[in-house]
Amino acid sequence: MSLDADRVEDDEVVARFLFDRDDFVPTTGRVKPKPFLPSPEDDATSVFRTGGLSETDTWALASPRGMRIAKARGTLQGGQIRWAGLDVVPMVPPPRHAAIVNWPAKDARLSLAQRLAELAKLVLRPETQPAERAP
Amino acid sequence: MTPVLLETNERLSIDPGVSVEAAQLTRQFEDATAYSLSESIARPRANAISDLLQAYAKASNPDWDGEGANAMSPVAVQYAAAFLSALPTNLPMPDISADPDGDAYLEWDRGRHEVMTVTISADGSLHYACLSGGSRFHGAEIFKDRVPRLILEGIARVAGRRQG
Repeated sequence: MSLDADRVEDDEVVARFLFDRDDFVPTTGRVKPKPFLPSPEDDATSVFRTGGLSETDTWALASPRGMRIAKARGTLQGGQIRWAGLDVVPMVPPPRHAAIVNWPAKDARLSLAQRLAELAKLVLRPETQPAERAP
Repeated sequence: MTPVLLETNERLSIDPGVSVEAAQLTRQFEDATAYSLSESIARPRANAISDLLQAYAKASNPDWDGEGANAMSPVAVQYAAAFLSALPTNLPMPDISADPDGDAYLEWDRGRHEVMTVTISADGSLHYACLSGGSRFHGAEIFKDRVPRLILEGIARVAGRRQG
């Protein structure tokens, strides 16, 4: 699958990798709002375009981000992000990287993060699931 | 940052290796919460302040999230402690952490469609957003000893509507 270098399509899936156990709820399959808030460095939320990738290759996208291991990912379609009032644009490098942009003032961005969390689907990293169930 | 080892007690504790600022904050909160409230009322608030200090310990350095987050400000922590102390005792305490801007991040989460979020900045500003069923509202205010009415309404609305 080839990706458009200039645009994330409305039906294209992007993933927000989740590194903190407090950012998602495995029992109800939910992503919390906070991980969607943008970084103050560039006022953008880092995501990766996962279309056409295997699960193994999808999780590998998260590995270059330091030594941390993603515990899960929240997935959205480009059209859902635009429907919420934001935009998602390719932003390479690294390969397949994109960014959720056009964030408004802070109180409105809190509301939009809630909206993205409502729409997002949670995907747990397979090897973390047994550990999640351990007493 | 100078590592310090704090005394711990039953109500509040923080990991060793935190900053002098965190140690001072801990002592202030100990003093502030050690009297006047009955144990049943004081316990959730003390636990929330303990959570706040843990959040500060985790986010007191820049880039604590690996994505360029600002360090959490000790002044924001103090405002957040005052905010928690001003919450009516009939409302639940929030989950507490830092957000990427370095603000205190307070969240009442009762499900996918029931979330109240409040952030507290080092300048005392409060930003909030409420999602409850099909309705939403958001806004900003300055914290002046009392929790603003709309924030109280949002917390009460979310707390009263539990779901999966």
